[in-house]
Amino acid sequence: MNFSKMKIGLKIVLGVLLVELISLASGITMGKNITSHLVVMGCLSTVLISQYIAWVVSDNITKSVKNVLESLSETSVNLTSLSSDLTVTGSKLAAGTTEQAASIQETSSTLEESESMVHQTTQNTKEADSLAKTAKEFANKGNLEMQTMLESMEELKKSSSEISKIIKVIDEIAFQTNILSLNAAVEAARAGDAGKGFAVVAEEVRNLAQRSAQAAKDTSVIIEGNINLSEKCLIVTGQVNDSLVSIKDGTNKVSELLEEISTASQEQEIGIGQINKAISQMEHVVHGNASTAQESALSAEQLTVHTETIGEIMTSLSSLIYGEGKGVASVSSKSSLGFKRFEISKKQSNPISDKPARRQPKLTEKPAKMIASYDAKPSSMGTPEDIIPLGDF
Amino acid sequence: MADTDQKLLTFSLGSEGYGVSILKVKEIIGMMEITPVPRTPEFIKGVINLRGKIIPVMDLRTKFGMESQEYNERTCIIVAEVLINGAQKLLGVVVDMVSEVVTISDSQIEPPPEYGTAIEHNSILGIGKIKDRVVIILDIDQVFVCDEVVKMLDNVREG
Repeated sequence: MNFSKMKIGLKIVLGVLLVELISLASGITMGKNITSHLVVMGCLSTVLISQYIAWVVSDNITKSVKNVLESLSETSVNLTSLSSDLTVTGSKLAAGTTEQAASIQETSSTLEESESMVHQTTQNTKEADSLAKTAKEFANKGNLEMQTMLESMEELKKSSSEISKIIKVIDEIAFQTNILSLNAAVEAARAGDAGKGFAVVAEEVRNLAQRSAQAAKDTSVIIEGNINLSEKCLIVTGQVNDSLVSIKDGTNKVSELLEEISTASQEQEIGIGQINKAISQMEHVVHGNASTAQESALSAEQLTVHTETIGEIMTSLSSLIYGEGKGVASVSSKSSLGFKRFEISKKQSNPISDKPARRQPKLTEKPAKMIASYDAKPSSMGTPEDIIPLGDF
Repeated sequence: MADTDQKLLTFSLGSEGYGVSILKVKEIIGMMEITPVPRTPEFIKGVINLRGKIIPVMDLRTKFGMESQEYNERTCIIVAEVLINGAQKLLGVVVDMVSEVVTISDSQIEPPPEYGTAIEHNSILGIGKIKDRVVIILDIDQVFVCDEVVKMLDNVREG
């Protein structure tokens, strides 16, 4: 509604009506034709009445607009607080998502490390497996060689026994020789002086026989020792053989276990690779989330700014409807952000505009004065129209 | 009394060493198969065939009342010439082991002890001392002087 224009029009009409009244009065007193004056007055009255009707209608509309404005103000305040909350939440979300992204990156690097470690383990297990197999082969070889050694030992024992027999024979011969030498000595003694030389020979033969016997005895002892050692060797070789068989079994088991470990490690490696892929996907998503959160935080900030703007508009609108600085003051005090623009509008207000808009100057006031006061207004109240351009009624 | 050397053939029975004059010994042979002869004293083991000669064999351990012992490769038979009834007879004597031929002088021989031996006194000529050892010197003629031996030897000669 263009109140000011309406007011100006009203004032002009009132002024013209006053002039007509004066001229009618003077016409009556002077006895002049007053018909023209009456026609003018009738026209003017019609204008006045229509103006009044327009004013009443506009007042009703103003009331409804006021109500809408109030609820709009409230909504605007709520919107402001909500948008500020949204800003805070958005910032928090952005920070959280960034943190999450960092954690995921860490996890990813840890996983990569784990992957390399598992890979290493797999390699080591494979190597250990091949080593175990080699050990098994060696154990097998050792087993075969042990068998050969066992046979050799058996042969050694046999040959020792044979040597023992031979030694016995030698001993026998030595004994026979000894008896022969004794017989020779007997013969020599019987021969008397003639047998003296022969007695010496017999003695020498006997000595040789005894030395042979002694040597045979010593050899026999040694051979006996050899036989004992061979027997011990046989026992020990048997034990070594058992140990080798145990080693073979053990390496077999180790090999089996290592193979299982190798398979498990490979599976683990594949699993970790899959986890890694999933994590990198997650990383992507989280990065996207982070940027989205930042964007939303930014949007929330912008929303706040826009809400502030709405607040300002509301202030301007309310000042336009209530007159400056009225009605919206209660709304602005609720606002958490506070509309600074409202303060500016307060500064702009003058004593007349502080009053409610409908409290228009009385008709009894002089038109010139009124016009002067209305003329002053547009300069001080330029802003509302600039913000919300209102059409004429 | 002048020192006269004599040679002894030494042998052992158990732990004891014995000796006989080498002039009494005909020869020494290893153990060979002995054929038992019925109705002979216990110490007569039987007879052997030594190169066609039948010689009675006696076990000195049994004769001396010592514990008998299984014959082994060391067991020997000393074939001795025994003077019985003024005639030379051959007789085999089983001993544990023949040792050696030693030369001994009269000064090394002591008279036999009055008691303490398992052998009849008249069978021992004396106790010989050879280095640290002690050798009982037997009179082989006396050892075999007994009716059974004489009778058996007579039989052999007649056979």
